[in-house]
Amino acid sequence: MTRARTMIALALSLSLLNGCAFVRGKYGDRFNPADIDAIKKNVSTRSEVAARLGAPDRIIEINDHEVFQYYNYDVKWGTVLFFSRANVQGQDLYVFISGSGVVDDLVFGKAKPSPEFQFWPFGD
Amino acid sequence: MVTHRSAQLALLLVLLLVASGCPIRWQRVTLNHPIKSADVAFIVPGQTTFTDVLQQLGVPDQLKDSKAGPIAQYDFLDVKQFKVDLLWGLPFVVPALLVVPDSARNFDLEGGGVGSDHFRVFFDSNWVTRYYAFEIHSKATEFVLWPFKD
Repeated sequence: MTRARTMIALALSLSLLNGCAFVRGKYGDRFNPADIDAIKKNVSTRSEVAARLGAPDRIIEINDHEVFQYYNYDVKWGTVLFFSRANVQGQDLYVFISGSGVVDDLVFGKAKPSPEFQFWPFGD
Repeated sequence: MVTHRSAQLALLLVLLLVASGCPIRWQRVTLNHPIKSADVAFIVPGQTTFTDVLQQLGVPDQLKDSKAGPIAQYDFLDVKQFKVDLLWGLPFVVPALLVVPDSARNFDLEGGGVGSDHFRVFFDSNWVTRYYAFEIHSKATEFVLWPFKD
């Protein structure tokens, strides 16, 4: 009993000294499937894409195509006593626009797995 | 009187410790999940298309253009950092040091590194794989307990 009390007191003291925290953060909005479904190949225009998804985060020129890139990040951060670990996962969406200003292709494959809450910084 | 003062000092110490954060910490930040050699074994130069790559690996983190054709890049980042404040416990032994500002009685040893992996697939103008390559600096990331070593 005394040992248990000691351990509880020790754990409480340590948590006072260093604290524990689980933090969730996001950069940018998650992609809305309805917005993505609304963009049709060979039909939707550059301005319709911008109206649906907003201004792109990046614009790239590839193979005579203008490519709108959209991305967001999801962060999960855990801290327990002396150990802290943050996992960040990005999601990307590319819209290929032809020279005539119409959507040629839309690249949004399988969603990457969501990051995990972890605090143990060792191992994989 | 002495006991009362000791209690006040102890309370002050606890408050300072809470405010000053932790004296020792292992921190790690990772971006995305790493892609391993086995994950890309399906890619056959001259045959595998951009669509095939997307289906297996997901959407790349970056698309770039080059004179020879587009490049898809998948990024992974691993940051490890270790920090210890060697003087953290000194005010317990010499309470008079509490008058010294916290920032002036730190002796931090800190070390770590940033390891980055990039996997790039190089396509021709028809989005067929020409070749692929890893850029690996994973050895750069480690918890460094003693920052003075080579």
